[in-house]
Amino acid sequence: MLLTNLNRIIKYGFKNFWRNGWLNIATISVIILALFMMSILVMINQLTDKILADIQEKMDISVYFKSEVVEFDIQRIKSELENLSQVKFVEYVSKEKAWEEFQLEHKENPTISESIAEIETNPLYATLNIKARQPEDYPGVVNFLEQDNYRVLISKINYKENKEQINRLSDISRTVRQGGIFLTLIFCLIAIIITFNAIRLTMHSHHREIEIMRLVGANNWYIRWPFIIEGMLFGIVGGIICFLLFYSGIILASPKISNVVSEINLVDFFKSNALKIITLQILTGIFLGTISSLIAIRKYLKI
Amino acid sequence: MILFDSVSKIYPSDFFALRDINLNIESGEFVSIVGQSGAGKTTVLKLLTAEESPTKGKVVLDSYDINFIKPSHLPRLRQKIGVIFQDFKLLDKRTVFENVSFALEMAGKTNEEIQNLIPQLLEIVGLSEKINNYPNELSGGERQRVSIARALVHKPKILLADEPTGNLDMINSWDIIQLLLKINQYGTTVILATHNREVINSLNKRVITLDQGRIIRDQEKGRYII
Ligand SMILES: Nc1ncnc2c1ncn2[C@@H]1O[C@H](COP(=O)(O)OP(=O)(O)O)[C@@H](O)[C@H]1O
Ligand SMILES: [Mg+2]
Repeated sequence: MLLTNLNRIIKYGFKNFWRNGWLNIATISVIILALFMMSILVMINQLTDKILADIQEKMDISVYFKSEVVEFDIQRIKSELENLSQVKFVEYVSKEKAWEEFQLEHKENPTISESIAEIETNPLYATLNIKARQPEDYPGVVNFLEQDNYRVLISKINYKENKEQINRLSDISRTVRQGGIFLTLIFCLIAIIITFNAIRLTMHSHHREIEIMRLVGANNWYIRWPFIIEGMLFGIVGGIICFLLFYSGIILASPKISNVVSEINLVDFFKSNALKIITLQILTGIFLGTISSLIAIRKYLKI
Repeated sequence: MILFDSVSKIYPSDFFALRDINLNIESGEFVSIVGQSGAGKTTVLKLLTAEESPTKGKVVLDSYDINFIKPSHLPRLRQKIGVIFQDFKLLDKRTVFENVSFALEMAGKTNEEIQNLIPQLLEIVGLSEKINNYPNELSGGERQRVSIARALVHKPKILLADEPTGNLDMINSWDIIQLLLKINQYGTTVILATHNREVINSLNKRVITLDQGRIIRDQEKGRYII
């Protein structure tokens, strides 16, 4: 009995879905539009986050100490730096260590290793590599080191300043996040309203069936489920089509974006997140379709 | 089995559709409710199927008090009642078989049971020949019989007929009334709402006359008098 009912519910769901051709196309198109907008927003958000993280990862301050400075002083400065709230960590590279690493790095290259062999004293500086917690913390750290009592010990402060880029990206990321959530909600709402109306129209074409179902005492859930399944199918089909469209869009757009910002490879990014993206799209599609169906059918189940 | 106790129905527009109705219908009766259009006949039937609830008073059907019925009990109540209408309410895109099987499916019957039951139901209403026809290939009388077959899927205790002959000529009307009498003889309570004078006058059964929402006459072997 349960199995028979389940069978019929699914059968009716699919039947509803296949009828009303153009109406279904319209409904699915709206769902696709909403999903597409949402995907683009999520994607931009993810991308800016990733690029920001990459840049922050690369960002650091290297402090080169004059060759006469002894390790004790450097360690003292290191621990003072570590006490700063802006500083995430400090790495000490001694002269000798730096020299070893340099030699190791270039041992494949005969010209360099030959010239290295000729040098008798270690030409490199002891170094502190500093990472701050936030991009905006770097200038503070640099200022700290610029104080006279430190400055005299320091040969050079190397601060790879990507500040411009970072600020720009932080701005984009913040705007995208704030505006994105808002826009996504709006679009979902529009999608729900339109899907709801479309499903209500298909329901209207079934109003006699629903009326008869009620008259013969069909359980309300028995009436509801085919429409919920129809709504879900809208969502699944919308999600899949949206994924395919999105993929094609990315293949087309990727070279252009790579021209502007070379670090971004959209296709790779998309591929490595494909499963997440399609899951998100289909689940959101199902959510939109189901919610819309449930709202639409309330009207017919009042009595 | 059916009891109306001081029932009034006021529709949202402050319109009194029924005023102080007292009514008692026993199991197995054949009752006609007559009155002009707008007298409140359909409202009486809708109170029984709990499509409307009374504004005042009490409607009881079997053990169900319509005022207090839980939504989850509605299907069970409605499975005790068969309903037919003036406009048949058939699904145009489905055959006679499918129209009846649709209701049986809703009742949760298995496909095997459905295959067995449909010929029996169509036999009762005399439509065995038309099992694979579509509604628009049938006469009005035949369509009403399909809707009667559908109303019988639950073996209802009560059959409500709301102007079942409203769209039919005299001969077809008489056919349908004969069928209702036959169903009544099998033990089903029949409540027939109509303003068809000839039908009522030849029935010689209980007649309740409504006028502007009031019962103005309730006769054991009644005639249509307004
Ligand atoms: N849902 C409704 N809302 C407001 N008025 C209604 C509603 N249904 C019926 N009525 C009014 O109640 C009166 C009785 O209606 P009804 O029971 O359908 O009469 P009948 O079936 O005898 O023609 C009519 O005047 C009708 O206009
Ligand atoms: Mg009426």
